[in-house]
Amino acid sequence: MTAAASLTVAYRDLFKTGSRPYLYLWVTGVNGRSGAIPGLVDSGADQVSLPDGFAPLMGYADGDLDEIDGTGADGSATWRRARQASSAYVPEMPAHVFSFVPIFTPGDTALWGRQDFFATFAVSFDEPAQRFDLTAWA
Amino acid sequence: MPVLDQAHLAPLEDTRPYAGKWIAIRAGHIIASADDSVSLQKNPDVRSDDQLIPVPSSDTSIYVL
Repeated sequence: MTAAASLTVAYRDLFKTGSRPYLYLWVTGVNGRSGAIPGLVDSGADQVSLPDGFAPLMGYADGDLDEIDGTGADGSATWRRARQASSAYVPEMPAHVFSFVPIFTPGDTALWGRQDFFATFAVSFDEPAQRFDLTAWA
Repeated sequence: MPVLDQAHLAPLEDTRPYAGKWIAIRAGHIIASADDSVSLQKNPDVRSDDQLIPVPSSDTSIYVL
């Protein structure tokens, strides 16, 4: 693969809870509705996970979701995984759209995980400088 | 390389009073809030192009996700 585009993104304190590697993605659900969602770039998350409340906004009914067992930092939990993929891109890099099958959790923070987000972008953290670099792969 | 901050997408107002709730943001301003996303979407003041997001609980200062 070859690098196609790069961005440096500053950590931010979006919610006055601390400075973290937040990134807004432009997300389109299965109902065609789109919107910007802030999430944490999280290499510890296997894939994209979203707070439960995004499911109806993105067009997922209860019957479109399967219960799965997962493990978070606070232990095992039952989450819901969609059967149909949505899509997303970094607003400043609209050519690099990726599909993801969202996992919906009771949490209140979106996580951009490895199997979808990190498969689309190489990520390099610079903790002392409080920023990270994104490189999209063509 | 310029450092991106996506400030045009972020809330301009302090979200702490809305911790644990969902908020609707338009041009950086909070225009409505509700306990859940569906109730917020049904609010007649909320437009389809508003940004709807949950505000994280503010009772934790350390995240281990």
